[in-house]
Amino acid sequence: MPFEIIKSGGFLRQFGLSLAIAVAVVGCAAPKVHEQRLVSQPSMTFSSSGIWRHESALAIQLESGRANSGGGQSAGCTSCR
Amino acid sequence: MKANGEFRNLIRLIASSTVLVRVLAAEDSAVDFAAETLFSSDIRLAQASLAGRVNQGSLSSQVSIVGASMDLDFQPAAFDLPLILPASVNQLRFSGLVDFQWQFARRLTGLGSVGGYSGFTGYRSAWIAEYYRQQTAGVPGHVRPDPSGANGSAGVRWEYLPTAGILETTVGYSRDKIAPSYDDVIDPEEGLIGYRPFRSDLNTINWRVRAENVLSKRVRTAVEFRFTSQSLRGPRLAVLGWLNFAATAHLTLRAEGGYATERFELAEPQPGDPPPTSTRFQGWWLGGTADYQLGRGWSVFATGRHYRDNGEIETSLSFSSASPGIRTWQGEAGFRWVSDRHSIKLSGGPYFTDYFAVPFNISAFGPLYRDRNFGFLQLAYQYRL
Repeated sequence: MPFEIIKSGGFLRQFGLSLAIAVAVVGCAAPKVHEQRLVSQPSMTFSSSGIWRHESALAIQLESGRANSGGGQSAGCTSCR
Repeated sequence: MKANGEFRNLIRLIASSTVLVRVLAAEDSAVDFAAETLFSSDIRLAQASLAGRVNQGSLSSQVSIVGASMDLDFQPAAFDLPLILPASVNQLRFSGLVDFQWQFARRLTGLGSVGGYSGFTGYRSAWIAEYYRQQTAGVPGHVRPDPSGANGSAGVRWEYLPTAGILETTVGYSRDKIAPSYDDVIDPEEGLIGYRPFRSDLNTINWRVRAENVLSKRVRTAVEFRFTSQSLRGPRLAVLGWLNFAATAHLTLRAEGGYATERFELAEPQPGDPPPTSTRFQGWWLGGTADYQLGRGWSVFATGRHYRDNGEIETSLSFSSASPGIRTWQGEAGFRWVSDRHSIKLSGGPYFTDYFAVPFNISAFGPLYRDRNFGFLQLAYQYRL
Protein backbone atom coordinates (compact mmCIF):
# COMPACT_ATOMS: atom_id res chain seq x y z
CA MET A 1 0.00 0.00 0.00
CA PRO A 2 2.70 2.57 0.76
CA PHE A 3 4.19 2.26 -2.69
CA GLU A 4 0.82 2.85 -4.31
CA ILE A 5 0.51 6.05 -2.33
CA ILE A 6 3.98 7.17 -3.35
CA LYS A 7 3.18 6.52 -7.01
CA SER A 8 -0.19 8.19 -7.05
CA GLY A 9 -0.05 10.72 -4.22
CA GLY A 10 -0.38 14.32 -5.29
CA PHE A 11 0.62 15.30 -1.79
CA LEU A 12 4.05 13.78 -2.23
CA ARG A 13 4.59 15.42 -5.61
CA GLN A 14 3.73 18.79 -4.09
CA PHE A 15 5.94 18.04 -1.18
CA GLY A 16 8.91 17.22 -3.41
CA LEU A 17 8.45 20.40 -5.40
CA SER A 18 8.08 22.52 -2.26
CA LEU A 19 11.18 21.00 -0.76
CA ALA A 20 13.22 21.60 -3.90
CA ILE A 21 12.12 25.25 -3.99
CA ALA A 22 12.81 25.68 -0.28
CA VAL A 23 16.30 24.22 -0.60
CA ALA A 24 17.06 26.42 -3.59
CA VAL A 25 15.83 29.59 -1.86
CA VAL A 26 17.63 28.80 1.37
CA GLY A 27 20.80 28.09 -0.54
CA CYS A 28 20.79 31.66 -1.81
CA ALA A 29 19.89 33.19 1.55
CA ALA A 30 22.05 31.33 4.06
CA PRO A 31 24.42 33.56 6.04
CA LYS A 32 28.14 32.92 6.07
CA VAL A 33 29.66 30.90 8.89
CA HIS A 34 31.04 33.93 10.76
CA GLU A 35 27.55 35.43 10.75
CA GLN A 36 25.98 32.46 12.53
CA ARG A 37 26.93 33.32 16.12
CA LEU A 38 23.34 33.79 17.30
CA VAL A 39 21.86 30.80 15.49
CA SER A 40 24.60 28.54 16.87
CA GLN A 41 23.62 29.07 20.50
CA PRO A 42 22.37 25.82 22.11
CA SER A 43 18.92 27.33 22.66
CA MET A 44 18.67 27.92 18.90
CA THR A 45 19.52 24.38 17.83
CA PHE A 46 17.21 21.37 17.52
CA SER A 47 18.94 19.21 20.07
CA SER A 48 17.59 15.80 21.07
CA SER A 49 18.75 16.33 24.65
CA GLY A 50 16.04 16.91 27.25
CA ILE A 51 18.01 19.94 28.43
CA TRP A 52 17.02 21.84 25.30
CA ARG A 53 13.80 20.19 24.22
CA HIS A 54 10.37 21.54 25.13
CA GLU A 55 8.22 18.52 24.37
CA SER A 56 6.28 16.15 26.58
CA ALA A 57 6.89 12.47 25.93
CA LEU A 58 3.80 11.51 27.93
CA ALA A 59 1.33 13.91 26.32
CA ILE A 60 1.71 12.01 23.05
CA GLN A 61 -0.38 9.26 24.65
CA LEU A 62 -3.36 11.60 24.35
CA GLU A 63 -2.36 13.47 21.21
CA SER A 64 -2.41 10.67 18.68
CA GLY A 65 -1.87 13.03 15.74
CA ARG A 66 1.64 13.72 17.01
CA ALA A 67 2.49 10.03 17.31
CA ASN A 68 5.17 8.95 14.90
CA SER A 69 3.80 5.47 14.34
CA GLY A 70 0.20 6.15 13.41
CA GLY A 71 -1.10 5.71 16.93
CA GLY A 72 -2.39 2.17 16.51
CA GLN A 73 -0.49 0.78 19.47
CA SER A 74 -2.01 3.22 21.93
CA ALA A 75 -5.52 2.97 20.64
CA GLY A 76 -5.95 -0.77 20.52
CA CYS A 77 -7.20 -2.29 17.32
CA THR A 78 -9.93 0.24 16.76
CA SER A 79 -10.18 -0.23 13.04
CA CYS A 80 -10.65 -3.97 13.28
CA ARG A 81 -14.03 -5.22 12.21
CA MET B 1 2.31 -8.00 35.24
CA LYS B 2 3.35 -11.58 35.89
CA ALA B 3 6.65 -12.34 37.63
CA ASN B 4 8.25 -13.94 34.58
CA GLY B 5 7.42 -10.88 32.52
CA GLU B 6 9.09 -8.61 35.07
CA PHE B 7 12.14 -10.86 35.13
CA ARG B 8 12.36 -10.77 31.34
CA ASN B 9 12.13 -6.97 31.38
CA LEU B 10 14.82 -6.79 34.05
CA ILE B 11 17.18 -8.89 31.93
CA ARG B 12 16.56 -6.63 28.95
CA LEU B 13 17.22 -3.56 31.07
CA ILE B 14 20.50 -4.99 32.39
CA ALA B 15 21.60 -5.91 28.86
CA SER B 16 20.86 -2.40 27.66
CA SER B 17 22.72 -0.91 30.62
CA THR B 18 25.81 -2.97 29.79
CA VAL B 19 25.90 -1.47 26.33
CA LEU B 20 25.44 1.95 27.87
CA VAL B 21 28.43 1.50 30.18
CA ARG B 22 30.60 0.56 27.19
CA VAL B 23 29.51 3.69 25.42
CA LEU B 24 30.42 5.79 28.43
CA ALA B 25 33.91 4.29 28.54
CA ALA B 26 34.78 6.12 25.34
CA GLU B 27 35.90 9.72 25.17
CA ASP B 28 33.82 12.66 24.04
CA SER B 29 30.71 11.17 25.61
CA ALA B 30 27.64 12.56 27.25
CA VAL B 31 24.91 11.10 29.41
CA ASP B 32 21.38 12.40 29.38
CA PHE B 33 18.86 11.58 32.06
CA ALA B 34 15.28 12.74 31.78
CA ALA B 35 12.23 12.10 33.95
CA GLU B 36 8.67 13.22 33.48
CA THR B 37 5.37 12.74 35.23
CA LEU B 38 1.82 13.54 34.13
CA PHE B 39 -0.83 13.18 36.77
CA SER B 40 -4.53 13.76 37.41
CA SER B 41 -6.90 12.56 40.14
CA ASP B 42 -7.22 9.09 38.59
CA ILE B 43 -4.31 8.74 36.13
CA ARG B 44 -0.65 8.87 37.09
CA LEU B 45 1.98 8.42 34.40
CA ALA B 46 5.75 8.55 34.80
CA GLN B 47 8.68 7.97 32.50
CA ALA B 48 12.45 8.05 32.94
CA SER B 49 15.13 7.70 30.29
CA LEU B 50 18.88 7.33 30.30
CA ALA B 51 20.88 7.91 27.13
CA GLY B 52 24.57 7.81 26.40
CA ARG B 53 26.16 9.03 23.21
CA VAL B 54 29.66 9.03 21.89
CA ASN B 55 31.41 10.50 18.85
CA GLN B 56 34.52 8.72 17.61
CA GLY B 57 35.86 9.96 14.32
CA SER B 58 33.30 9.47 11.62
CA LEU B 59 31.14 7.26 13.84
CA SER B 60 28.57 8.40 16.33
CA SER B 61 26.20 6.28 18.34
CA GLN B 62 23.66 6.63 21.09
CA VAL B 63 22.11 4.05 23.37
CA SER B 64 19.00 4.89 25.33
CA ILE B 65 16.81 2.97 27.73
CA VAL B 66 13.40 4.05 28.96
CA GLY B 67 11.24 2.86 31.81
CA ALA B 68 7.65 4.00 32.20
CA SER B 69 4.83 3.34 34.63
CA MET B 70 1.06 3.74 34.45
CA ASP B 71 -1.10 3.85 37.55
CA LEU B 72 -4.81 4.07 36.74
CA ASP B 73 -7.97 4.12 38.84
CA PHE B 74 -10.02 2.18 36.33
CA GLN B 75 -13.69 3.17 36.44
CA PRO B 76 -16.33 1.53 34.23
CA ALA B 77 -19.37 3.29 32.82
CA ALA B 78 -22.36 3.25 35.20
CA PHE B 79 -24.39 0.96 32.93
CA ASP B 80 -21.61 -1.65 32.97
CA LEU B 81 -21.84 -2.08 36.76
CA PRO B 82 -21.69 -4.63 38.32
CA LEU B 83 -20.47 -6.68 35.35
CA ILE B 84 -17.39 -4.47 35.14
CA LEU B 85 -15.95 -3.25 38.43
CA PRO B 86 -13.59 -0.45 39.45
CA ALA B 87 -10.00 -1.60 39.65
CA SER B 88 -6.49 -0.37 40.16
CA VAL B 89 -4.38 -0.89 37.04
CA ASN B 90 -0.60 -0.76 37.27
CA GLN B 91 1.58 -1.39 34.24
CA LEU B 92 5.25 -0.99 33.39
CA ARG B 93 6.92 -0.53 30.05
CA PHE B 94 10.60 -0.89 29.18
CA SER B 95 12.19 0.09 25.91
CA GLY B 96 15.60 0.46 24.40
CA LEU B 97 17.00 2.13 21.30
CA VAL B 98 20.39 2.16 19.65
CA ASP B 99 21.09 4.55 16.83
CA PHE B 100 24.15 4.99 14.67
CA GLN B 101 25.52 7.72 12.44
CA TRP B 102 28.39 7.15 10.03
CA GLN B 103 29.84 10.03 8.04
CA PHE B 104 30.98 8.18 4.94
CA ALA B 105 31.63 11.25 2.77
CA ARG B 106 32.40 14.89 3.45
CA ARG B 107 28.75 15.93 3.47
CA LEU B 108 26.96 12.61 3.70
CA THR B 109 26.08 10.67 6.83
CA GLY B 110 24.38 7.31 7.06
CA LEU B 111 21.72 6.91 9.74
CA GLY B 112 20.42 3.74 11.37
CA SER B 113 18.55 2.64 14.46
CA VAL B 114 17.12 -0.48 16.09
CA GLY B 115 14.85 -0.61 19.09
CA GLY B 116 12.26 -2.54 20.98
CA TYR B 117 9.85 -2.34 23.90
CA SER B 118 7.73 -4.47 26.16
CA GLY B 119 4.54 -3.16 27.75
CA PHE B 120 1.60 -0.95 26.90
CA THR B 121 2.67 2.10 24.92
CA GLY B 122 -0.12 4.23 26.35
CA TYR B 123 -2.47 4.33 29.30
CA ARG B 124 -5.51 4.16 27.00
CA SER B 125 -4.59 0.71 25.77
CA ALA B 126 -4.01 -0.44 29.37
CA TRP B 127 -7.46 0.90 30.31
CA ILE B 128 -9.12 -0.78 27.32
CA ALA B 129 -7.33 -4.06 28.04
CA GLU B 130 -8.62 -4.00 31.63
CA TYR B 131 -12.15 -3.46 30.33
CA TYR B 132 -11.93 -6.48 28.03
CA ARG B 133 -10.22 -8.57 30.73
CA GLN B 134 -13.21 -8.10 33.00
CA GLN B 135 -15.79 -8.34 30.26
CA THR B 136 -14.46 -11.62 28.93
CA ALA B 137 -13.68 -13.22 32.32
CA GLY B 138 -14.98 -16.76 32.51
CA VAL B 139 -15.93 -16.87 28.84
CA PRO B 140 -13.77 -18.68 26.28
CA GLY B 141 -11.72 -16.58 23.94
CA HIS B 142 -9.87 -14.09 26.07
CA VAL B 143 -6.15 -13.72 25.37
CA ARG B 144 -3.88 -12.33 28.06
CA PRO B 145 -2.33 -9.21 26.52
CA ASP B 146 1.45 -9.05 26.28
CA PRO B 147 2.13 -6.00 24.13
CA SER B 148 5.60 -5.56 22.70
CA GLY B 149 7.29 -4.35 19.58
CA ALA B 150 10.48 -3.92 17.62
CA ASN B 151 11.53 -1.29 15.12
CA GLY B 152 14.37 -0.29 12.88
CA SER B 153 15.21 2.49 10.46
CA ALA B 154 17.86 3.49 7.96
CA GLY B 155 18.54 6.70 6.12
CA VAL B 156 20.97 9.33 4.97
CA ARG B 157 21.74 12.94 5.84
CA TRP B 158 23.09 15.40 3.32
CA GLU B 159 24.69 18.61 4.57
CA TYR B 160 24.14 20.49 1.35
CA LEU B 161 25.17 23.81 2.91
CA PRO B 162 27.93 23.51 5.53
CA THR B 163 26.56 24.57 8.95
CA ALA B 164 23.46 26.05 7.31
CA GLY B 165 21.49 23.41 5.42
CA ILE B 166 20.73 19.77 6.19
CA LEU B 167 18.42 17.41 4.36
CA GLU B 168 17.80 13.92 5.69
CA THR B 169 15.50 11.05 4.98
CA THR B 170 14.84 7.77 6.76
CA VAL B 171 12.73 4.72 6.13
CA GLY B 172 11.54 2.70 9.09
CA TYR B 173 9.67 -0.47 9.85
CA SER B 174 8.08 -1.55 13.09
CA ARG B 175 6.12 -4.54 14.22
CA ASP B 176 3.87 -4.29 17.24
CA LYS B 177 1.90 -6.82 19.20
CA ILE B 178 -1.03 -5.03 20.82
CA ALA B 179 -3.84 -5.90 23.20
CA PRO B 180 -6.74 -6.81 20.91
CA SER B 181 -10.34 -5.78 21.00
CA TYR B 182 -12.97 -8.54 20.96
CA ASP B 183 -16.05 -9.55 19.06
CA ASP B 184 -18.94 -11.55 20.50
CA VAL B 185 -19.41 -15.13 19.38
CA ILE B 186 -23.18 -15.67 19.39
CA ASP B 187 -24.88 -19.01 19.05
CA PRO B 188 -28.49 -18.67 17.77
CA GLU B 189 -29.73 -21.01 20.46
CA GLU B 190 -27.33 -20.59 23.36
CA GLY B 191 -26.58 -16.90 23.04
CA LEU B 192 -23.10 -15.66 23.93
CA ILE B 193 -20.69 -18.58 23.91
CA GLY B 194 -17.36 -16.84 23.64
CA TYR B 195 -15.25 -13.98 22.41
CA ARG B 196 -13.13 -13.73 19.31
CA PRO B 197 -10.07 -11.48 19.53
CA PHE B 198 -9.45 -9.13 16.67
CA ARG B 199 -6.05 -8.71 15.08
CA SER B 200 -3.27 -8.13 17.59
CA ASP B 201 -0.24 -7.59 15.37
CA LEU B 202 0.48 -4.38 13.52
CA ASN B 203 3.05 -3.70 10.81
CA THR B 204 4.07 -0.12 10.21
CA ILE B 205 6.18 1.42 7.48
CA ASN B 206 7.18 5.03 7.80
CA TRP B 207 9.12 7.42 5.67
CA ARG B 208 10.47 10.69 7.01
CA VAL B 209 12.07 13.65 5.24
CA ARG B 210 13.50 16.52 7.25
CA ALA B 211 15.14 19.76 6.20
CA GLU B 212 16.92 22.02 8.65
CA ASN B 213 18.15 25.44 7.58
CA VAL B 214 19.71 28.63 8.81
CA LEU B 215 17.66 31.27 7.03
CA SER B 216 19.39 34.36 8.39
CA LYS B 217 21.69 35.52 11.16
CA ARG B 218 18.79 35.10 13.59
CA VAL B 219 16.52 32.39 12.22
CA ARG B 220 16.91 28.62 12.17
CA THR B 221 14.09 26.44 10.88
CA ALA B 222 13.25 22.81 10.43
CA VAL B 223 10.46 21.18 8.49
CA GLU B 224 9.63 17.50 8.51
CA PHE B 225 7.30 15.37 6.42
CA ARG B 226 6.15 11.98 7.62
CA PHE B 227 4.37 9.25 5.76
CA THR B 228 3.07 6.30 7.77
CA SER B 229 1.28 3.19 6.61
CA GLN B 230 -0.01 0.84 9.30
CA SER B 231 -1.95 -2.41 9.17
CA LEU B 232 -5.70 -1.89 9.11
CA ARG B 233 -5.34 1.87 8.94
CA GLY B 234 -5.23 4.33 6.13
CA PRO B 235 -2.00 6.06 5.15
CA ARG B 236 -1.13 8.97 7.40
CA LEU B 237 0.64 12.10 6.22
CA ALA B 238 2.05 14.69 8.59
CA VAL B 239 4.02 17.88 8.28
CA LEU B 240 5.81 19.44 11.22
CA GLY B 241 7.65 22.74 11.42
CA TRP B 242 9.85 24.56 13.89
CA LEU B 243 11.21 28.09 13.81
CA ASN B 244 13.77 29.46 16.27
CA PHE B 245 14.34 33.21 16.36
CA ALA B 246 17.19 34.89 18.25
CA ALA B 247 15.38 38.10 19.20
CA THR B 248 18.45 39.29 21.12
CA ALA B 249 21.68 37.68 22.26
CA HIS B 250 19.83 36.54 25.40
CA LEU B 251 16.28 35.94 24.21
CA THR B 252 15.27 33.03 21.99
CA LEU B 253 11.74 32.64 20.69
CA ARG B 254 10.70 29.22 19.42
CA ALA B 255 7.58 28.34 17.48
CA GLU B 256 6.35 24.92 16.42
CA GLY B 257 3.36 23.54 14.58
CA GLY B 258 2.14 20.45 12.84
CA TYR B 259 -0.68 18.86 10.94
CA ALA B 260 -1.52 15.19 10.44
CA THR B 261 -4.20 13.58 8.34
CA GLU B 262 -5.25 10.00 7.73
CA ARG B 263 -7.92 8.67 5.43
CA PHE B 264 -9.42 5.22 5.76
CA GLU B 265 -11.20 3.46 2.94
CA LEU B 266 -13.18 0.32 3.63
CA ALA B 267 -11.60 -2.29 1.38
CA GLU B 268 -14.70 -4.33 0.66
CA PRO B 269 -17.84 -2.94 2.29
CA GLN B 270 -20.45 -5.64 2.64
CA PRO B 271 -24.13 -5.14 1.84
CA GLY B 272 -25.88 -3.91 4.93
CA ASP B 273 -22.74 -2.46 6.53
CA PRO B 274 -23.49 0.80 8.33
CA PRO B 275 -21.58 3.78 6.99
CA PRO B 276 -18.47 4.53 9.07
CA THR B 277 -18.91 7.48 11.40
CA SER B 278 -15.53 8.91 10.52
CA THR B 279 -13.20 8.10 7.65
CA ARG B 280 -10.70 10.92 7.94
CA PHE B 281 -8.52 11.83 10.87
CA GLN B 282 -7.17 15.35 11.13
CA GLY B 283 -5.04 16.75 13.90
CA TRP B 284 -3.01 19.91 14.30
CA TRP B 285 -0.98 21.60 16.96
CA LEU B 286 0.78 24.89 17.70
CA GLY B 287 3.21 25.97 20.36
CA GLY B 288 5.62 28.68 21.36
CA THR B 289 8.47 29.13 23.84
CA ALA B 290 10.31 32.17 25.15
CA ASP B 291 13.76 31.30 26.50
CA TYR B 292 15.78 33.99 28.30
CA GLN B 293 19.41 33.71 29.42
CA LEU B 294 19.96 35.36 32.79
CA GLY B 295 23.72 34.89 32.83
CA ARG B 296 26.20 32.59 34.64
CA GLY B 297 24.61 29.63 32.88
CA TRP B 298 21.11 30.28 34.17
CA SER B 299 18.09 30.73 31.96
CA VAL B 300 14.33 30.69 32.36
CA PHE B 301 11.65 29.76 29.87
CA ALA B 302 7.89 29.60 29.39
CA THR B 303 5.96 27.50 26.89
CA GLY B 304 2.38 27.30 25.67
CA ARG B 305 0.99 24.56 23.44
CA HIS B 306 -2.38 23.64 21.93
CA TYR B 307 -3.43 20.44 20.18
CA ARG B 308 -6.71 19.27 18.67
CA ASP B 309 -8.00 16.48 16.46
CA ASN B 310 -11.36 15.26 15.25
CA GLY B 311 -11.10 11.77 16.72
CA GLU B 312 -9.65 8.50 15.63
CA ILE B 313 -11.11 6.84 12.59
CA GLU B 314 -13.94 4.60 13.68
CA THR B 315 -15.19 1.86 11.42
CA SER B 316 -16.37 -0.80 13.84
CA LEU B 317 -19.71 -2.41 13.15
CA SER B 318 -20.82 -2.18 16.76
CA PHE B 319 -19.06 -0.91 19.87
CA SER B 320 -15.67 0.70 19.62
CA SER B 321 -12.83 1.99 21.76
CA ALA B 322 -11.75 4.72 19.32
CA SER B 323 -11.00 8.08 20.88
CA PRO B 324 -13.41 10.92 20.13
CA GLY B 325 -11.97 14.30 19.16
CA ILE B 326 -9.85 16.05 21.73
CA ARG B 327 -8.46 19.48 22.49
CA THR B 328 -5.58 20.03 24.87
CA TRP B 329 -3.83 23.04 26.34
CA GLN B 330 -0.46 22.93 28.00
CA GLY B 331 1.48 25.59 29.88
CA GLU B 332 5.01 25.16 31.11
CA ALA B 333 7.53 27.27 33.00
CA GLY B 334 10.97 26.35 34.23
CA PHE B 335 14.64 27.06 34.52
CA ARG B 336 17.89 25.66 33.16
CA TRP B 337 21.45 25.79 34.41
CA VAL B 338 24.33 24.92 32.13
CA SER B 339 28.03 24.55 32.94
CA ASP B 340 30.96 22.93 31.15
CA ARG B 341 30.11 19.45 32.38
CA HIS B 342 26.75 19.58 34.11
CA SER B 343 23.41 20.85 32.88
CA ILE B 344 20.03 20.61 34.53
CA LYS B 345 16.52 21.63 33.61
CA LEU B 346 13.38 21.62 35.74
CA SER B 347 9.93 22.62 34.52
CA GLY B 348 6.26 22.02 35.13
CA GLY B 349 2.78 23.29 34.56
CA PRO B 350 -0.85 22.41 33.87
CA TYR B 351 -2.19 20.25 31.05
CA PHE B 352 -5.91 20.39 30.29
CA THR B 353 -7.82 17.93 28.10
CA ASP B 354 -11.26 18.48 26.61
CA TYR B 355 -12.84 15.58 24.72
CA PHE B 356 -15.67 16.04 22.27
CA ALA B 357 -18.97 14.33 23.03
CA VAL B 358 -18.61 10.55 23.36
CA PRO B 359 -20.80 8.77 20.77
CA PHE B 360 -23.16 6.00 21.85
CA ASN B 361 -21.04 3.19 20.45
CA ILE B 362 -18.03 4.38 22.48
CA SER B 363 -20.00 5.06 25.67
CA ALA B 364 -18.50 2.06 27.49
CA PHE B 365 -15.26 4.05 27.46
CA GLY B 366 -16.85 7.32 28.57
CA PRO B 367 -14.89 7.34 31.86
CA LEU B 368 -11.67 6.96 29.87
CA TYR B 369 -12.53 9.80 27.50
CA ARG B 370 -13.63 12.36 30.06
CA ASP B 371 -12.08 15.79 30.44
CA ARG B 372 -9.21 15.96 32.89
CA ASN B 373 -6.94 18.53 34.48
CA PHE B 374 -3.41 17.15 34.57
CA GLY B 375 -0.28 18.52 36.12
CA PHE B 376 3.14 17.66 34.81
CA LEU B 377 6.76 17.92 35.90
CA GLN B 378 9.92 17.41 33.87
CA LEU B 379 13.50 17.01 35.00
CA ALA B 380 16.48 16.68 32.68
CA TYR B 381 20.16 16.30 33.53
CA GLN B 382 23.18 16.05 31.25
CA TYR B 383 26.75 15.13 32.10
CA ARG B 384 29.53 15.56 29.55
CA LEU B 385 32.74 13.59 30.01
